[in-house]
Amino acid sequence: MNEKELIHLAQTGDLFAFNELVTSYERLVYNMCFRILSNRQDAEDLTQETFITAFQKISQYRGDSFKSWLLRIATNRSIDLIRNRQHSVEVPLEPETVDGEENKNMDWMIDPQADIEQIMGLSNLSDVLRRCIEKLGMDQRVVIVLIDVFEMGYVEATEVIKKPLGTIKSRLVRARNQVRDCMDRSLEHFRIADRHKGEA
Amino acid sequence: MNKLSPVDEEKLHDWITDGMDINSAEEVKKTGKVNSDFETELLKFQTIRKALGSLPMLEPPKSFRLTSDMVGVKPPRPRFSLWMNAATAFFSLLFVFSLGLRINGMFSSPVADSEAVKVMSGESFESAEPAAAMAPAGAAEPVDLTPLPDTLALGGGSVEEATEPEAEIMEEPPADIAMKAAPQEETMSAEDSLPAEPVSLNPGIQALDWLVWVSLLLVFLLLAFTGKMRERYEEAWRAKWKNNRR
Repeated sequence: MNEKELIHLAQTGDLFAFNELVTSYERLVYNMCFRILSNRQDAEDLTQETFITAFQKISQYRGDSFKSWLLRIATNRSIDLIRNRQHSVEVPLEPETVDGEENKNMDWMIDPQADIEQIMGLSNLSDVLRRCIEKLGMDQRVVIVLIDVFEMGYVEATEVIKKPLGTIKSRLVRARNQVRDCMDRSLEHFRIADRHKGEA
Repeated sequence: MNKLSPVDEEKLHDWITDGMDINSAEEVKKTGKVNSDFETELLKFQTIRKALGSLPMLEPPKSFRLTSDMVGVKPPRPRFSLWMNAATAFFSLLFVFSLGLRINGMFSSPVADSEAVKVMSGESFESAEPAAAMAPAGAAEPVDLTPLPDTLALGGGSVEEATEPEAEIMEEPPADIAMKAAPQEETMSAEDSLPAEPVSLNPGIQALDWLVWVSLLLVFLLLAFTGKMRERYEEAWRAKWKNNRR
């Protein structure tokens, strides 16, 4: 059964058909939530909520890209969650590494402004990138996750975010510039650290 | 630190994102050859994009398939349910209707019977006609079938049947005579022991009794059967859900 048929069945209330769609997209939605939220538990909760909302609102789906429609729900819910969190500031005590393991390195406790020691302690490029993405504003983060992490084109990203192309382009440029600066600083610190090690 | 003009910067990012047509792409390539800053930036952004694209995709920790409880979906109504409900409704109506008739018969029968007895005893012949008309057909039958010698001399439409010649009665087969004699015996015995449960004597009311009990029984049976069948159906439906989960 193809995707259109499954969607049609799901629109008639067929939960079995909808669950076939869930199986197809759960990995993508979960990873997108994780990249935006940087927290496994939140990503898990939000992925589940996304599918529940999608099932409840599937009658409103108008036949464009189902993937974009689903990611739009996930994105909007992620933004809502982060904005709600900003009202009641919540600092994770023990951030996870990319593998979901507890981060044994205590550098994360250092003030984010004091980047040198912190970044020197980060073990690999993935962690550096993750930290750099986390530092972006919400709108920029969503754009860079969709376009650079999930390698979407402008058109697809526009369908997900529902913003004009110009807005998406400008957000992407700002996001990339910030990530580049963040990476430059990180690499510079790595170089300094390597030099110190060599002298020692 | 931005070393590029906004136009070049936009071109560069469009190029990286593959959002350019062939002509514009060629133009970017030429710019890259001329402007070394442009080329450096391009390489840098391409590296970052490649690194971001190669971030590992995590395996979801669980299945996110939905259950009926999560979305508040109730098991669909089984097909047999409609027919069962229709049958239950029919027999419920039959029960109410037959019970209504039965109660009506119970209250009207004693009146008719007592009137009939009065007619038989000659107390109020005039009032027998309206009373017989009001009473159910079954209740009036004993009056018609009882030719009494006292009433033969009287005129009037309702007793014409009773004035048929004696010869005709005599010509009737013995079986018919026996059949006619039977109600006569009944009415006589009713006269002897008044009041003698006129309701139980009426075959129509007896049939209603039967209908009341049968329809009531069927209603209970149908309700129990439908409930049990639906329970099993829902169990099977939930089991199907369980198996559908990873």
